[in-house]
Amino acid sequence: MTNGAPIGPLLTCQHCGAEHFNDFRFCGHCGQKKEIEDSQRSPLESKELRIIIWYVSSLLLILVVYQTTSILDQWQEDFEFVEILLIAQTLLFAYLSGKKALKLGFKPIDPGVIGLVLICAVPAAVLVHYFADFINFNLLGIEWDFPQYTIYGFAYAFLFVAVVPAIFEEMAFRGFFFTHMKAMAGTQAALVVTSIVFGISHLSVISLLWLIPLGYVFGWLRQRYGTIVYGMLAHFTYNLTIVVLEYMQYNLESF
Amino acid sequence: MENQDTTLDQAVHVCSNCQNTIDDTATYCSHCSYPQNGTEEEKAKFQRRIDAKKRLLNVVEKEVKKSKNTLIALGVLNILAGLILGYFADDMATLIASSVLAMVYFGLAIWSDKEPFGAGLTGLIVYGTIVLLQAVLEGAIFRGIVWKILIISLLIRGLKSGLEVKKVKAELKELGIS
Repeated sequence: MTNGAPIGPLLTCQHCGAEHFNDFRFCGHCGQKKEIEDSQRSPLESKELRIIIWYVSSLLLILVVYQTTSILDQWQEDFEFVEILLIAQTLLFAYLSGKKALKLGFKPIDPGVIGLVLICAVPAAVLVHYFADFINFNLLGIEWDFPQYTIYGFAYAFLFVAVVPAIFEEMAFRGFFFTHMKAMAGTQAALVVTSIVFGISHLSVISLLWLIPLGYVFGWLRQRYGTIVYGMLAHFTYNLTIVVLEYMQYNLESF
Repeated sequence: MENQDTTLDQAVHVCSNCQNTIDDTATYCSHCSYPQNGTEEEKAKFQRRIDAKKRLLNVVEKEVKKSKNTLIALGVLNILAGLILGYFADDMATLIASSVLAMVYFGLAIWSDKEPFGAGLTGLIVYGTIVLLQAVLEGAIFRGIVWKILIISLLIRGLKSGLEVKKVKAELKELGIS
């Protein structure tokens, strides 16, 4: 702040009309605070928090009800119904959030990053697969049971387990959810909150061990490169690797 | 200090609340709104404003602390439940799951010192999911309903207060108090 000669136009206090030569935070005449155009709204009343609360609660409700009421012989119908419901839900909240919040930029695609993502996602999936097997066999004594999707063919699993989650979970957790959380509480909070909620939404407590770090990495990719495309690719590669491993085990066990 | 006070000219131009240079024709400091050239009554009013903000900060910080303690209690309860079921019922799955959940709750409790809003919101979502799962899986909506409501309300109040802490601290800083 300089006390020199007045430069530029006079600034007027909105409360008492006093004129000031220099920029000010409080009016020297009446002591009132200068009103700033986009005055800080409380995050509690913001559209962002409302979208997050409605998205998370509807998501958990759909998943919990599906998880606990689906019957095995109707599994395929239930599963497809829930998948379509989840896609529609994600698209609805993506629409409400606006295109900007999605971070779906395709322009600055770096082949080096793509290579790195592919190289890291495959071993990570293999590691998690065998770690989960270790917990199931050695600690819990659970026999390996093939996931239900294996009986409907590889193409089915490819679509519903690799492609759909990679697109729609990323649009939600690294797209609008991340953007809104970042706007309310900053980058670090966005990374932590989205990765934990991403983990919790899979409704398996033990898998939080790898889902939270995984969600954090996807979130980091989005933050670092400003696009969710790399996260989608990483998510797709990771899920596909898991599906392939399950199929290999399924084929081995069925002989 | 002594040296500064001897030069009268300089003393008039410095706000005694925030030490910024001010325009001596103005009643209030344009940096912190302290009534440097105002009456005693105006100065007392300024002090009352600051005291009120400090009291509010105290209240909301207590709420944040309660929410942190709630997260710690949830972690401890999970560890205890896991250990009891693990040893007496040989339920390894619950032992592992409870330990993982406890780790999440403890992590959030630690993080709530830095980011009470984010930690409270995440804790609320995690706890809410568990309650929802129990309600649908075991039909146990009303089991321990009083505790569930208490925990949820403590977490909600904690995350609201977390935002308030940030806001009041910023306002106090603006008024020249750190």
